[in-house]
Amino acid sequence: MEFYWQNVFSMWGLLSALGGAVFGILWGCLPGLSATMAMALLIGLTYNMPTELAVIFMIASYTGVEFGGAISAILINIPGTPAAIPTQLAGHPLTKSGLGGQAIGAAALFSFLGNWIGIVILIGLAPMMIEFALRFGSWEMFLLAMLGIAVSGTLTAKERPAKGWAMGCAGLLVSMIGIEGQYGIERFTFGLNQLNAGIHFVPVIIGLFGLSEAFAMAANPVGKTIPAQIGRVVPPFDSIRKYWRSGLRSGMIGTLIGVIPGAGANVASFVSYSVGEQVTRKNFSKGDMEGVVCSEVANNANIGGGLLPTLTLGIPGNNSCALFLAALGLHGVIVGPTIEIDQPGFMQFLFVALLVANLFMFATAFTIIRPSIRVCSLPSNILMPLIVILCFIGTYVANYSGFDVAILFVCGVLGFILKKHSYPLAPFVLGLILGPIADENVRRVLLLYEGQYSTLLLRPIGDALILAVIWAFWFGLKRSRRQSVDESCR
Amino acid sequence: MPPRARAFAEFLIATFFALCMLVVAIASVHLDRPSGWPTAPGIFPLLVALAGFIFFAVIANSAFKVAWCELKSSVEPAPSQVKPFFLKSFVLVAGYYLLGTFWLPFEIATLLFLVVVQLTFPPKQRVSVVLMKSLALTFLISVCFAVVFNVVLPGRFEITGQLIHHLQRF
Repeated sequence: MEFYWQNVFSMWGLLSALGGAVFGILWGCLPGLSATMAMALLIGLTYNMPTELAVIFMIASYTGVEFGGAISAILINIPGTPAAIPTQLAGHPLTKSGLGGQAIGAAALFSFLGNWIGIVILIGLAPMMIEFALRFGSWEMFLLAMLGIAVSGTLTAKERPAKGWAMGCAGLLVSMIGIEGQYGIERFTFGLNQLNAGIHFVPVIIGLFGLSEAFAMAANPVGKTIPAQIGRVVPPFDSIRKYWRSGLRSGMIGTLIGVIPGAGANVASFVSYSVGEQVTRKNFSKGDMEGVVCSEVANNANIGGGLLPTLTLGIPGNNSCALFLAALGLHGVIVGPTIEIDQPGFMQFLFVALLVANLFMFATAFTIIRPSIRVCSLPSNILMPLIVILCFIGTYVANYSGFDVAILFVCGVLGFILKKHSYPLAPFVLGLILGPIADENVRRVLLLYEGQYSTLLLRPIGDALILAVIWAFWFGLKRSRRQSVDESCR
Repeated sequence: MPPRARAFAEFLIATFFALCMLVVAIASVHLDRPSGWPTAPGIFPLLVALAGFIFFAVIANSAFKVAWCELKSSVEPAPSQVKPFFLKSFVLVAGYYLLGTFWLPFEIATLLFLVVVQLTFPPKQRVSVVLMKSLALTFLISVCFAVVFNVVLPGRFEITGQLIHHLQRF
């Protein structure tokens, strides 16, 4: 499949970018609806769209959601997305003092700039990363997949890394259900014919991230108070001059964290927020524009950072990128080290799509800030069924299968229970997506190196990856030991 | 959720998943091995399932310890605030998916679901308002997906799709 960046500027391309940006901002400002959930639903909903338009729409939505989360965080003290929690801490007190509009304006401006930082770094580093990744063999690809799951498990499980690793294992096993490719042997179908083709990841992901959120909403209906006045939304003219240092620093932090598998925009915005507090020696939680800047720049720069390993290695940088990768797979776009050969023009197309999406996000943000306040106020007894219906359609249209709808429901219930007990879902998604890569490569290695496995240790990149995997587990175990000491029987 | 109940629930969840991992590990061993262990389809799943079993067993063990500590130390546990809403939502969603996939057209199932959810969950509204809102939302969703996204909606038969088809012919 060939891609032409000029097609982004076609009428349908621009309309997709505009539609995606508006959808993303409105979605993001709905309390509790994350970028991951939007991407999960869009996998199914964009399935029938032409590939180029689907890519533009998803990228524009992703960009929009990351900003949209700030609107409800600042105005109604409920973060639209988990990444907007630091924005809420610094921004909501500003609303109380009548500066809510300006805080949202600053969030839009610095989200735009944060995206720019991420995109520039992505464009600059992608060719180098591809050149490096071309040296990877099956052994390195297997280790890279394992590293992704191990790091993701360590970073995303708040209480116990074992929970993250266990979820990674569960994801890997679910990905192996069905007839395997080498000998055509059925694995773990337990006599169910519907499982022969494997479990489709669309219902699993939509269930875990979308439907589970609807159940959570039903369990905790939250009342919202919308402020009567938000003031002007255009940020002060000198805000860029005032906060450029914080912006640049947060952009670098956001992009860097984006590159680490499993560490998404929420980690980026928290780290950037606390680094910002330390550097400026201010307490952002009393209400500070600089806190909003630190958080928003980081979570938007994370998009470019997350796409870097996703496109060049095929290892997603965060949940949303994992889902973007899955959507690309459904459209027959295979990314990884050979992306330039397999999909000529795709990288350039995506870079231009990102830039255009970012421009549309910025342009539409100021136009729809005021209408989006109304969206924030949607009661949960409307929002919850809407999510349920969107999940239903999103799942059904990907395969037109009733069995998929059953999987959606089961995964929704499981996701709700697992989230309630602090099991992170990011390692599960990574396991689900990286499972086939890991399985195929490890079996190839075992066959090729049969009887001489010790020679695998003579591969320097492989050795570095083994050390990284060991470090990820060691780091997690160390944290876990500290935790168990704290929790010892009172 | 009170700490003891939480720890107990966590123990049950981890034990359930640990058992699942054990079942998968046993199933992996019993998979065919056309050319020996190194390329066996069950080798990687076996290793992953064993690792998963260990992780879930560790979680179950620590949850059990916490539950045991709570049991020894606690005064009478505070009465748990049972939130029936999520149980209701499980039943409603399961019913909607069943009706909407196999028995009714998408539009009718969606309308019913919207009405029932709004009448069940707070904030309470007048039935006429609920009906109007539900009708408007059903119409919007059906037209949006059938026309804009051009997808075949779930359900026993299509109403919006047929309507559009007839309108186009007309």
